[in-house]
Amino acid sequence: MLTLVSGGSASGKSEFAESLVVSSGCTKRFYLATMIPFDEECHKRIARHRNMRAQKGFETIEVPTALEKIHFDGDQENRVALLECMSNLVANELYSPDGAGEQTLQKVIDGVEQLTKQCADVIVVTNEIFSDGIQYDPSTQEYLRVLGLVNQQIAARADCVVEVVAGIPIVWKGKA
Amino acid sequence: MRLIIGGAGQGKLNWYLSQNPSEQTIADGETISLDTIPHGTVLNHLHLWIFRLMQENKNPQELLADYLQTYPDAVIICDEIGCGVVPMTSQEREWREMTGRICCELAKQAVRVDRVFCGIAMTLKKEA
Repeated sequence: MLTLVSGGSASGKSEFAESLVVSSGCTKRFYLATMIPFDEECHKRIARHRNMRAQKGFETIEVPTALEKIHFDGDQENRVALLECMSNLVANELYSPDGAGEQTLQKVIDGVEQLTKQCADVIVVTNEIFSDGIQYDPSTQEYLRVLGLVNQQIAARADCVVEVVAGIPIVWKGKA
Repeated sequence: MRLIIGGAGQGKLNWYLSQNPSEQTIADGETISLDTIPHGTVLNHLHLWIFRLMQENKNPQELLADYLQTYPDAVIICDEIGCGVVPMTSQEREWREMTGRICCELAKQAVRVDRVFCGIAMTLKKEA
């Protein structure tokens, strides 16, 4: 089962996504982290979050790029993966030197496909950043365009699509 | 008239065309001439058309009324642009205000209003 969770910043989407993991019934919980740490503050924050999730039984895997190369050993049964956040992964693929560049859309969708093959439940968290009306520079406009397409393609194949507003899940597709 | 709204890059036009594949005449508010009313049964990128008209000191509400007289069954597609920080320039603030108010008015008149999110539509209003 594939679920896409979106929402604005601080909308409660991470907490909602974690609740989906806990209620999934799968006991092997993986957290796929996409942020690239660029300074000491990032490292500290990441270490703190890792510890918090470890207490909830999550194993953290860093996937700042190349999600399509992910590999889990063994059977998909009983495995649930939470990927957070698609907006970071797409930015990393588009802009980092070892990213996929123009192949970003295809690589990221391949990556999600890989996850669904190897995990019984997959929850992808993305970000609603499309309604501020700002005409950004061409590079940022391109980022918005690609992230919009990634979201649409994941939503098209997802069993469930949820927008979280003020901590309240609005179901756009399927049943949360 | 129908109104379709949603954030940028959500697949609003594609969603409409997937439901109505025979639709042929799309006026793109980003590029159409500002000397006449839009010619097309679909007016896409309403928010950009409004922006361009305001830059030339033309009145978007009047031109839109004229457009709807000629195309009363038009499908109007507009980005939602009001969910960011208040813009720094008065020009952008006035554009955001104008676009929002026009969408409210269109939604009142429309027989149907849909909101598209990640390529999925939610019908907000549908008259029997």
